[in-house]
Amino acid sequence: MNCTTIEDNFSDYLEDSLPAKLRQSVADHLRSCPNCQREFDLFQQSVSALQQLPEIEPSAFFDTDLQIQLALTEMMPPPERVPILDQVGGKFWQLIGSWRWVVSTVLAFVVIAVYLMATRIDVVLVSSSEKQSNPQVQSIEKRDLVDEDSDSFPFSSDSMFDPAVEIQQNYVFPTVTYSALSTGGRL
Amino acid sequence: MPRNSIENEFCLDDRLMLQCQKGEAEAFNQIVQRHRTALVTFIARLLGDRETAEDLAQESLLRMYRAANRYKAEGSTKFTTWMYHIASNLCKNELRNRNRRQRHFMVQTDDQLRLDQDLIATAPADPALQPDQQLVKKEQQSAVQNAISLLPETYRLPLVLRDIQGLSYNQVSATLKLPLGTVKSRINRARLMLKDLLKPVVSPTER
Repeated sequence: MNCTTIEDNFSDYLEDSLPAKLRQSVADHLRSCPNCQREFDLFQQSVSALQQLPEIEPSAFFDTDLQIQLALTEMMPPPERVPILDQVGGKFWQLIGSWRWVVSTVLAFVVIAVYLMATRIDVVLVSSSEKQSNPQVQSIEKRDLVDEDSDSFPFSSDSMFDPAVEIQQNYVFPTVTYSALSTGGRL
Repeated sequence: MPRNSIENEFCLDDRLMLQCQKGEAEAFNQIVQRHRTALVTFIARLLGDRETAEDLAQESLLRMYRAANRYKAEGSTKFTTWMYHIASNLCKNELRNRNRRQRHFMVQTDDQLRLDQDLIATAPADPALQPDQQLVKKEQQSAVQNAISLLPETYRLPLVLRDIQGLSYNQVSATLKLPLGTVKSRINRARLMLKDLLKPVVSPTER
């Protein structure tokens, strides 16, 4: 204990709320240092003077004025009961604080992203399982791989030499067939 | 005051508030009678101005009446902390308005000092003291009141609640919604400031 740190303990020492060891240390320092003892005495006197300040009685008009104002005042209605979910939600937004707009935007994006991913996964899963289980798909895919000699080929043999038809045949037709089968006709 | 008696006092406040919620107007009148002196003293010591103190005490009581239906009786010291919390907020606003007015209009503190003297002059004299002792005591009270008015708001509030209103550290902490450690250190700091301000008035040899 020294002269600079002792002041931090004045209130606790005065109110006798210091741990025994610290209290002894403060008492020892006060005994050995007349300046600190004088400062502590001043401290004690100041607190005592403060505590002895008299109460202030309200004036004679206080009650009358208040009664007039009370007569013109209405009580607020009791608070409505908030459902438990709203309370939980309220606490959540209270925790989030001023970041609520950022958080709600991010949450919205996350929900959209999850939905999109789930949809794509669904398509891939359905398509791969259908490919394995549905021989029709396999046959169509095989047929689509430019099986030019097949009887069921939908274009005439003349159109095979037209470059535009060739592009349509290799690109557009298989895609349409694949999508319609894999999504069950939803797309 | 024994602990049981203090607890009964707090329970009485809660009971009166419950009666008030049921529409018994007399219950709130009893609350006013029980706490009006404490409220006026608290605000007057904090602001150093009796007239404003009465206005703000009335405003505190009106706010308490308006919000009576929202008060939840939880025993312990809830009512006292609720009451001082409302009054403290009004005092903070008043002190901020005063500071703003002083900054804008360069008002000197002479008015403030006059009001403080007025506050001391209206305090009842102690009949046990001789006239010259009474004069010395009033001068000392005046000096203490002026010293309180010179403290910054953050230190003044906890000090008045603790040393003039006699609240415990926990109650001060609950009233000002500050951590207990902060309250303790602010009160100690405020007392040290007060000691420095009162050095010319308070002499340790008086003991």
